[in-house]
Amino acid sequence: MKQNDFIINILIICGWLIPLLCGISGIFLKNRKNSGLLVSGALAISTLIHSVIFFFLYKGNEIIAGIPWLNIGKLNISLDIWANDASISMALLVSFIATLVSFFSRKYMEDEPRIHHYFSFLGFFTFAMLGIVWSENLFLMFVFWELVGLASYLLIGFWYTKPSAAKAGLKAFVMNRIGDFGFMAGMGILFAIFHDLSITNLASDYLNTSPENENIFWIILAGLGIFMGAMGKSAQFPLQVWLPDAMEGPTPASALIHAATMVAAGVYMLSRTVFLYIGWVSDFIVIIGTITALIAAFSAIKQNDIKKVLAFSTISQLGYMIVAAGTGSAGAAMFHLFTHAFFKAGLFLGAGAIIYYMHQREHSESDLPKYFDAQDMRFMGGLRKINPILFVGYTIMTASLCAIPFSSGFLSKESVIKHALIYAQGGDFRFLVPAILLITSGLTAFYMGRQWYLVFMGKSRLKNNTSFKLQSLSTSDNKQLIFPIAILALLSLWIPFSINPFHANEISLFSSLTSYPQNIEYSAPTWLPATAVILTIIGLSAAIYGLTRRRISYASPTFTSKTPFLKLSREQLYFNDFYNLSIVPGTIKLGRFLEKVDMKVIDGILHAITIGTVIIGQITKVIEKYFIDGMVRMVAYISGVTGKITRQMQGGRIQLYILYAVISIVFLMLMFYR
Amino acid sequence: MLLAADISVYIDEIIRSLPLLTTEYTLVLSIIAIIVMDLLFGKENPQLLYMAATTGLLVALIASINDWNTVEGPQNIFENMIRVNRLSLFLSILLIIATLLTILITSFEKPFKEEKKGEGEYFSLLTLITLGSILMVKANHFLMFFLALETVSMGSYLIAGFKFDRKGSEGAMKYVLFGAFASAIMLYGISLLYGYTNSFGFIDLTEIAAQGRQIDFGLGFALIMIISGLFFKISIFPFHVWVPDVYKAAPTSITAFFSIVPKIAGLMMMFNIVNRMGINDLEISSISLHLDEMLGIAAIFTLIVANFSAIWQKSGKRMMAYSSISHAGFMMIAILSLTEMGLYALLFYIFIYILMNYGVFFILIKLENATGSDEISDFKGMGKAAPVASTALVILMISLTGLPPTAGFTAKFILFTTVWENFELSGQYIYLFLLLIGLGISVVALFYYLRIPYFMYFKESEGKREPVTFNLFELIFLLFLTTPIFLLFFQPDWLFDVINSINFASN
Repeated sequence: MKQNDFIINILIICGWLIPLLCGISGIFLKNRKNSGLLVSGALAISTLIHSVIFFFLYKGNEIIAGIPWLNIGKLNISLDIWANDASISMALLVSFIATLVSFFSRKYMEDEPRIHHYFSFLGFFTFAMLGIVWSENLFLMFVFWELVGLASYLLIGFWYTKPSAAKAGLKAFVMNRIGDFGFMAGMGILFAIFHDLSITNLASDYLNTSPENENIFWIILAGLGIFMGAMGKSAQFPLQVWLPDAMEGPTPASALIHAATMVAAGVYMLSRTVFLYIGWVSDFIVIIGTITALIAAFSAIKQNDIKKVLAFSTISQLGYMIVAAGTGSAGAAMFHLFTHAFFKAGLFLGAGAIIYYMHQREHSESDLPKYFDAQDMRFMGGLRKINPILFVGYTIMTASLCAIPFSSGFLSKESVIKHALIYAQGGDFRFLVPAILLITSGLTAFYMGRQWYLVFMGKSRLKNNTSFKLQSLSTSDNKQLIFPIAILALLSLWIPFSINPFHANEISLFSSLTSYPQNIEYSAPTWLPATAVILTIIGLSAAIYGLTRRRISYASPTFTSKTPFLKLSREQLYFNDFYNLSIVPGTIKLGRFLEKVDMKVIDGILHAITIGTVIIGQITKVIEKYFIDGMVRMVAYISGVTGKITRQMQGGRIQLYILYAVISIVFLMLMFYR
Repeated sequence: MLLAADISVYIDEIIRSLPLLTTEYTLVLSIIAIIVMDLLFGKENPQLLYMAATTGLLVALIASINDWNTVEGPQNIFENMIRVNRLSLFLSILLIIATLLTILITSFEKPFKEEKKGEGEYFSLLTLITLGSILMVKANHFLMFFLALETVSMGSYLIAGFKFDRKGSEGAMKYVLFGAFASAIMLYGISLLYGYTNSFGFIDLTEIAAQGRQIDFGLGFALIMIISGLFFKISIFPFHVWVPDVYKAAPTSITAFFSIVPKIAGLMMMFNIVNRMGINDLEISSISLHLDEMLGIAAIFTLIVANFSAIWQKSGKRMMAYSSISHAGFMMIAILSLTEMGLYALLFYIFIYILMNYGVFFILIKLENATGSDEISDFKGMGKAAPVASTALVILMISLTGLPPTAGFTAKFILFTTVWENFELSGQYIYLFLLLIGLGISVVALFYYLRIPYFMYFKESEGKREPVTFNLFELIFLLFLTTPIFLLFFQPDWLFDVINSINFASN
């Protein structure tokens, strides 16, 4: 058994470091194109290693291994990895999706001159993300948390010459920093109380903490702080605004980072530290998750950018996961994380393929509309004909996101809403939570239906010409684009997670997804999935009906809604404007004020000190000139005189030394003599 | 008249003792080899001498490490003349490494490259001093101790004059005269001690002493004389006056050697004598003098005198001489400690001190080669001309001052912690004074240590400076000296694990 653990540890380290090392060495390759192959290969090996661990080696025992790092006083931090079902399957997920995305990127980014940077960032990101997955220690996790943030920043701002991309990267960074402030504060409190940041030790400490503990207020607050970290990373209200802007990055990177894995880091962290959220913090988490799910779904309704719709849907789905984690069911959260990771990564890759195709059109067709934008759905339409695999795959994954039966999304979303329902039995206004989640799933169906119809159905709106036919995107030429989508679409069906398409076996599933297994399975009332499905169908049909009724055949700037209510959706509830008008200028004003304080007060004090020092310097100068120098001159005079006396003796100085030493020793001996 | 049985006992004793001194034989053999090689082909191929010396030391190093791995408890050999234990083996490893470093920086120094004079003598003397130092560390008997000490001293007198100019000879002469004086005092002290205790061993005097650990004036006087001789060796006030003159006059690499090898040996000797004879606890009743107080006050004076004198120095080498006096004062504080933490603090300090000092002297050699002088004011504008050297020097100086994030800080921090523990343990105010003076002196130290970087970076040179370059080997050497200074700040456990394996109780 021990030996088995050892092998697993070694493999984990290999799978962890290989992407990083290959990413770094990719920078130095002579032929930059090869860096793509190198990193893709590295990620594939990493996936292979993780799947070997997952399917063959791992025997179900918790493995905590590592080396001590810092031992200063009470601060003991060790670099430990914590391998159990949850982390191994998460690592497998991360490396698997990263592999698919990197293969996809090789085609998508083929004309990019800085492709080697892109792939090294990808390798670096995978390394950092796996760091979060394996960390046993909150401190270590925080280190990788920041590295992941850095990787995300680098990839959002990948086209840094574009002002909007640079700005989006900055925004993501700042928003995450706000959350990280909470994370750090939480860690500080935990360390002050428990003198330990190891998650497993903290878990047992929490078990022994009674509600009468004198520090209970701080302990609860620590949970809130750590949750703030998750709010930043998983784009929860009110820090959600960075994620839609993050779509400025390359689309495959968005698929990996801003849809499937990194934003899920918050949820994963919550599932690892689920014991931390006690008292009112868990209610707070549920409320935040619910609000996020609703407003993000609402904002998605009127977006025209294909990636923005997906971005908002990501935020909304993350809200679901956060709700599940808040209700104490880390299993449901992780389940939804997994299904979501597959279909959302697939949707993004599909969007990437569509954008790739639209860019091709931009270069090959003439007389395109004036405001053409490759990502704008208003210029699409009729794309079902370009590639059947893309169409079918995208449809399956859309169905999965809308939680239509026979999809994986149906299983996990049902599980989440079911746990919200159980939570609602706690009374008060808690029934609002499942109700809002159900409404949100209707909205989800609406905006996804709208997207699906706008992109694939109808006729092409690219040209004002009914006989215009779109060229096809052949599978054989674009294998690297189509295959990852096909694989992810297959994984979005119900089969990988449960044999029964209507209900998943939660006990076995959750035990392999969470660090703290749940043993009780609740059965949902039948009306719950039924209602969800009905709402979904209503949403879908409303979207499709609305669009068919308008019969738009050619894209034009008037193709936007003027209704104030829907305008609210298009402008994302004016969150950005709110921040730009209130908090941003406020912060800048505060900064200016502090600058003034610095200039006037602090500098003033410094000037005063300087002047004081100069005055003292002048005084000491006078003293030195007449007093010290006088003494020095006196000493010199005396030495001179002594020198004259001793000069007669040859090498007089050494005798003087000896005399001086003897006198001193006698002095030392007799100084205590009484 | 010896009986046959007695002889066989002696032979048995010798046979038992011989295997524990492999390091020493290796060094003796290498000294002989160097002399012979110098006679045969030293003039044509001086590199051979370098190689012979280095090889000898490396073999000795391996022998020491081998002993370190095998020797468990302390072994008294040659009728208790010599005691081999893990502490002494650890130090002999350090001493040999220090000598190797000396040989390395010698090869960088200009005069040696050009003059080709006395190289055979130089290396044999270097090895001889190392041999004496190792025996000093291992000695458990005053005769052995005196012999070893004189081996070191004689070698040092000779090697100090290796600049072969008027100043060098003058410095060496001063060294001889002062050294002879100190040796004489010490020898007189040893003979008095023999008269009182009828033994040359390092016996525990607290058992002989009367009630209240009091000893009479004669014995106390003998002890003070012995300690004075050691004070000379490790340059503690008031026997430190020779240091700046000699250090300034000697070639820089030899200055580096002097500031490390004989000094460490002397310090460990001091530690062994103080510890094994229980000198810390004794009081000379007739002049009401506690010996630990006297040692403490000597350390305090050393710190004050050395640091305040260092501020006024114009020459980099003289400044480093005072700096080495000051560090001896700090290490003296560790010797006074009552707990085993003192030993650990001392060993840690010694280790870091070796790294820092060799680094600084190496850079001084480079700067000396470039500017042709060791005056601090001549280093103006070197910050631009020698960026690598300047940066490394700043790091080393910060470490010498004892500021984070360097291991110099860790060493001082552990030292002061020990002193504070002692104060809490014994309640004697001497420890509090040591702590306060030590802290205050660290502030003073900042002024003179950072003076060299100040001149290098903030003063422009009059003419244009030729850039000072390092070859790969020198860079590696510099990196080897400076990296541990950072590493051991962040991860002092690496060194402490080694030091902790030395059992304090079995010394």
